[in-house]
Amino acid sequence: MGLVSKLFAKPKKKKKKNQPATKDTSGQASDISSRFLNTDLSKNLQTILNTTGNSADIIIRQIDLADEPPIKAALVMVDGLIDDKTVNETIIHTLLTEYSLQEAVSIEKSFDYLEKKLLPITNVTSVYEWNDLFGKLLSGETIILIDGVEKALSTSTRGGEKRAVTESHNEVSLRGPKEAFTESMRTNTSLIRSRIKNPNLWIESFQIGKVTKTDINVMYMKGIANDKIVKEVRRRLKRIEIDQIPDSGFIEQLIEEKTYTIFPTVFHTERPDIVVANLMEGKIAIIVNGSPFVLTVPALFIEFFQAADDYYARFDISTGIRFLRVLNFFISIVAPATYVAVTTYHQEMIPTLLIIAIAAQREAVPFPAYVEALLMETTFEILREAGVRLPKSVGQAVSIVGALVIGQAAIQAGIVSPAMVIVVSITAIANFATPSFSMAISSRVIRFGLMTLAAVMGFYGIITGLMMMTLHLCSLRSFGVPYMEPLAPLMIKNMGDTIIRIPLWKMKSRPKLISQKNIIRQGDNQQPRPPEDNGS
Amino acid sequence: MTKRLNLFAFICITILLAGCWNHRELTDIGIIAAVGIDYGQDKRYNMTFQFVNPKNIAGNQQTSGLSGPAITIYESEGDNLLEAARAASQHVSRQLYFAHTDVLMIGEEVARDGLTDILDIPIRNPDFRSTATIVIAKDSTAEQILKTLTPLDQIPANTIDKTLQFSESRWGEDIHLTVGELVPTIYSKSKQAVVSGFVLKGDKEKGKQDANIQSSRPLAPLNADGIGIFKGDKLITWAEGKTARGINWILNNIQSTVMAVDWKDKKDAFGITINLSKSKVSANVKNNKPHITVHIDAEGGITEADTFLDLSKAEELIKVQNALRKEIKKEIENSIQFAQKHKADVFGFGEKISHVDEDYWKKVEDVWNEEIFPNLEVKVEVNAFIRRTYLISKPFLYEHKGND
Repeated sequence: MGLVSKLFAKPKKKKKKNQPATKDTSGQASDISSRFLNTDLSKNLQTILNTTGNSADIIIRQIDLADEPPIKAALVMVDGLIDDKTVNETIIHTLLTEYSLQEAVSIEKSFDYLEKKLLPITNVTSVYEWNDLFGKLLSGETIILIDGVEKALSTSTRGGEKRAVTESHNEVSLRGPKEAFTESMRTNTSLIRSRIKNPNLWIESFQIGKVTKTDINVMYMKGIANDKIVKEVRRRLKRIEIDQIPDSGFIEQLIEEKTYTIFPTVFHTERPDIVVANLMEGKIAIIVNGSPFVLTVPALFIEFFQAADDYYARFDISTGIRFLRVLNFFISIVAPATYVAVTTYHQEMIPTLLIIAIAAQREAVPFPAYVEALLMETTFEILREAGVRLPKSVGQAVSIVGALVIGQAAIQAGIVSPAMVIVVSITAIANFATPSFSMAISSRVIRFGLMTLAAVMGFYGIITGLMMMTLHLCSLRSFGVPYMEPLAPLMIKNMGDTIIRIPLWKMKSRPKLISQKNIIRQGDNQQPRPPEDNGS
Repeated sequence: MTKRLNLFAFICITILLAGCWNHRELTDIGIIAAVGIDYGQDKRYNMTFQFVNPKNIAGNQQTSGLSGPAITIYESEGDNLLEAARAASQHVSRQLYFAHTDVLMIGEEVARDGLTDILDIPIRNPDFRSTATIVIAKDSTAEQILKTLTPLDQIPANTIDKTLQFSESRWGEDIHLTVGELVPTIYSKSKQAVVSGFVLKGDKEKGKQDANIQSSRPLAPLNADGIGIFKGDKLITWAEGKTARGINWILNNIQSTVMAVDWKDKKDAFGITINLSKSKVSANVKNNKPHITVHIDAEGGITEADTFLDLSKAEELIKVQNALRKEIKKEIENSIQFAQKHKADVFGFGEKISHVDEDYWKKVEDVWNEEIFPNLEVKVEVNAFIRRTYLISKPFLYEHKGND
């Protein structure tokens, strides 16, 4: 803290000067003279046009509701955000053809008439303030202004282009639901809501982003989720003051417990079934409009190794696979480090014939083992990074070049040994087997650290590094819940869903430290058994 | 903040302190498969190092170009072993690396003069493994044997090690002994050491040349041969053939072996595979006189029957069994006599006595090998059992030939 503040000590003066300007970044139209709407329609329309800078996508449609006495009205909407069909067929059509003079003779009455009786629209609200009006207008609602009334009607006509629900791209599973979240928050909440038909699924709404006003929904199961954690989520969301939220990644970084850690303490997924399962454990989902990735908190370390398939396949197979995944994570962080340590310090640990084989391969390699390992790992990381960003058509070329460069040419040129290539490949494949990308990426970072430690101190270094990593993991918390739960603190009851996965009927309790009060998931005697066993 | 910086600095310093002090690249070490110890000029030690040439081990694809022998021999002299080993740096381009050394070969001349000077460094040096096999170069120098190229196992050290291992467990006339096992017995008063010997047969000059492995019949084959009997740290004699096996019976070293049993007039008419053997030595001291009982349980099956005998009948089998029992007993008694003749208690009978009657042992320990052991009464009990006759019971071929 001290160092940071010292570094930023000088520009303090500037900050003060800038302060008035920063207040303006709220993005609210600053030239609105009054807070409330005017009674005069033309003045109101002028204000709208001025505030939006006469933007091309603002549509103003003026209509006469009645000629005698003349009742003038105007519809304001944003092109592209509204659902054209609703506006045309429902609102405009109704206003033009079914407006009845008997019901609304005066201007005052016509407003109530529209709101309460006429408009066949799900959601109609009155708006008094400009801020409110612009918020609604820009989120796709149609505003109806009537001359002589100092308020407006806002009708829900949200629409516009949305991506359809498609299969999940990043979290593929062999079994289980295929659909994935989209960029539309409402679609996303509906995907979850349709899976939990329970009034206790509560949704709280937030608008974050001073300029963008991004909609954010927080979902949790009332009664299962811990109120304290819900409160903490609310608190952390409310204190965010940032101009924009382009993706849930922003929220993740702004609410996570600790920035300076390589381990993710917020879980994200694009699969509704995973979110549902997490909600059932008492976790809280944060859905950001515009992002197909839904966040769930609190996140546990072991959660990043649990794939949806684990629960859909039978338990014995899942247990085996879960074992394999943890092993993979371990391999992906220690394999190159072990190679370096063994070939430069602990040659006595390898069987004689193997060390002779490795020695024969290394005979012509010009680099020390550490440099060799670093070289190969870096090459691989470059290839992977290149592969991620490239368009699909070019991606194949990269893999061919990569296979040739790392595999064939490097060995034939005598720059690396075949054993090193095997180690790098095993590491890479093990790394890909981690279901969560955010955990896989952190293991890549740790790997380089451990390699350096191994080059300096051999196995002693690797063990030191792993111990430091474990200590760090144990010190982490996610929304107050220990990150390593149920491994540390040890919770035997919750161990059934960690490196093993016990049968579903045996998983009687939810993670104890998350939900805390409502931890019974199911009753006893859930084991399937033949009927004659009943009651015994 | 300063606290954290300090901590960080400390961690960095500790990393540097560890400073790669035993860092060594694979290309900087010379893997030594076997070490030989002989006398050089003026009774200085002459060490022979059998280095592995990783590139020349078949099976590595890199060998495509040049190929030479799988091993390279370097020698160096010194007044003590450490000096000799370090002096090798003058002509070896790599650090000597002993962790993969499988064989410690000692020239017979050195062995007869005593092993004390030699055995300290292998157990003191953390690099050298006490699991290395110790072997004596019988009738020759260690150097000569280590220089020999061997065909099946390309590294001669492996040949020596594996030959001993298999001949101990399948034949029983040799001993696969590690340095770590030898050291405690070398100065023990209650048990004398035994070490296997290796001998080079055939054309000794051709042995070190490629010709030895190019020819279908090795020109100079290496042979495990006999057990060296020690007294203190000095080699005194060799026990060979059945005598050596008798020692192994008592030392409980027999895992499997084959016995030949005479039947009526025919010599070695039955070949019996022993595949389970257990020896138990018990001792007692009565009236100041020690008694030893050796009890052997042996179990096997008839693998070869070269005479006619209806083996499907139990009473016939029991007869063979008794013959086997006598054969084993004879063998064991022979080797006890041999040891008594040379006044070397290789069986550890003294050790058993010391466990039973410590006071008595205290009195006799200094004269045990010289006076008491040679006249010790040893009772040998053998319990032999024939478990099976394998695939056929009646040797029907001999039924027609007639019982000769």
